[in-house]
Amino acid sequence: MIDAAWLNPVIAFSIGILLSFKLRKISARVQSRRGPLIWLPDRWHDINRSKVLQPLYDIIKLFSKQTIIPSTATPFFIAGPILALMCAVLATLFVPVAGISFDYSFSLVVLFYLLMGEILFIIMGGISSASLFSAIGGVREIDLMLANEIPFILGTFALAITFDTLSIQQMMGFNILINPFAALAVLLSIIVKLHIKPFDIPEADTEIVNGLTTEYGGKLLGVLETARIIMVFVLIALFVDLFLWIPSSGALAWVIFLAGVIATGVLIGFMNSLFARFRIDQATRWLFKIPLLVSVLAIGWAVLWRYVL
Amino acid sequence: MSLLNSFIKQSPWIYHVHAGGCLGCDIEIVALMSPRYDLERLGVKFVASPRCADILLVTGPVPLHTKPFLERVYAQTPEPKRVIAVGACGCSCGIFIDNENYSIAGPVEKIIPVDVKIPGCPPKPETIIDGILKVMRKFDS
Repeated sequence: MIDAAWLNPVIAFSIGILLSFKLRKISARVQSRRGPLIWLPDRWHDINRSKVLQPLYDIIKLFSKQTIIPSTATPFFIAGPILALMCAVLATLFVPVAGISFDYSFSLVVLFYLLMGEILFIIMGGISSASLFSAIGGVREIDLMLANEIPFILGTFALAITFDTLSIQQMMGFNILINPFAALAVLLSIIVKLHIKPFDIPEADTEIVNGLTTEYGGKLLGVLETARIIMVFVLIALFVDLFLWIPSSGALAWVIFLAGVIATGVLIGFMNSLFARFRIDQATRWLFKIPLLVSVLAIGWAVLWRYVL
Repeated sequence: MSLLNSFIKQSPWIYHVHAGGCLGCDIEIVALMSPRYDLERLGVKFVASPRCADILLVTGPVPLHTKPFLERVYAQTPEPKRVIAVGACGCSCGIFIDNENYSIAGPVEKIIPVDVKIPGCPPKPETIIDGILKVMRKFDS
């Protein structure tokens, strides 16, 4: 008997493409542009009919291009994106999609390591290209990660304290009512992990060409884009599972899950288009101030309800 | 191979090379991503690094000291790639056409192969969109 959770990477990739399209579309509409068109006019039908799958076209195009490897690069340059993609794909197995995933009594911890590993492997690949822009991007990424992992871990562990378990399946629920501070802390750290606008410092393309991915092109960039699209889905789905999930099964579970994913995606899309970029020192200071405070409050809230009251 | 090229047609990523122009053409190029002419409707994206690019959009008459950089940017762009020369300077050196000009390395064509030329000083954004559509359709052949 094959477990249905093996389908999670495919579902993650397909929904991730639609989510990335939605992010681009929202960003364009806020700037009063049209964005990638859903229906192209007749005169452009030889180019394409619909641009809904635009992120997929980008990835297929990148895979059909020549890959240039700089002479200064070490073998990690090639290994980095592939390992990052492996981490992202493995992470989808542990995030419940409409309630279906692999579940152990410690799956939250496994997910922490996979999410952290994805970022670390991208950093490893980027800085081994010996490009200065990649080095600056890598330093910024590490700075953000150091400041950001604490609220993320504390926010999710607040739920672990409430439900007395480390398994994601058992702590799923509409927990935004049970612990609103944890929801805020996890949402803020998801934004940082996805490089949504106030925190797109590591890939700021007006300052440091593309950050970590400066030297990547062709197939390796395609691998990185795939990993990014899967990560968009994984983190949004994790937020929906932990905070917006109403226990159900079958078709209803899919409706609730997709509604939650779309709502969170739209929220993140508006954040992406409404804010300007932080400087790295402002970002780390802000992350050490507000999300850390919120996550400590979340832990306090959870301990209060679990042990004191 | 033509099947793969048709995917490039669906998501052309453009790198804008500034080779010593007067910024007139560059301002018209920036207008391409504005609400009025929004090129993202067609899936076009302006990228910051030539390594991700499919199409090079070159403006300016290429002064001598910019020539090695233009060659390097062209070499860094992965195959298959196309080049558009924008503006009178990009097509034919414009007002710098004098052969005795000591500081100009010639029009873009002399240095790297050009697929489409867009004349005008500066060309209107509509013209540039037409040129980009032409080069997108050229990926088929």
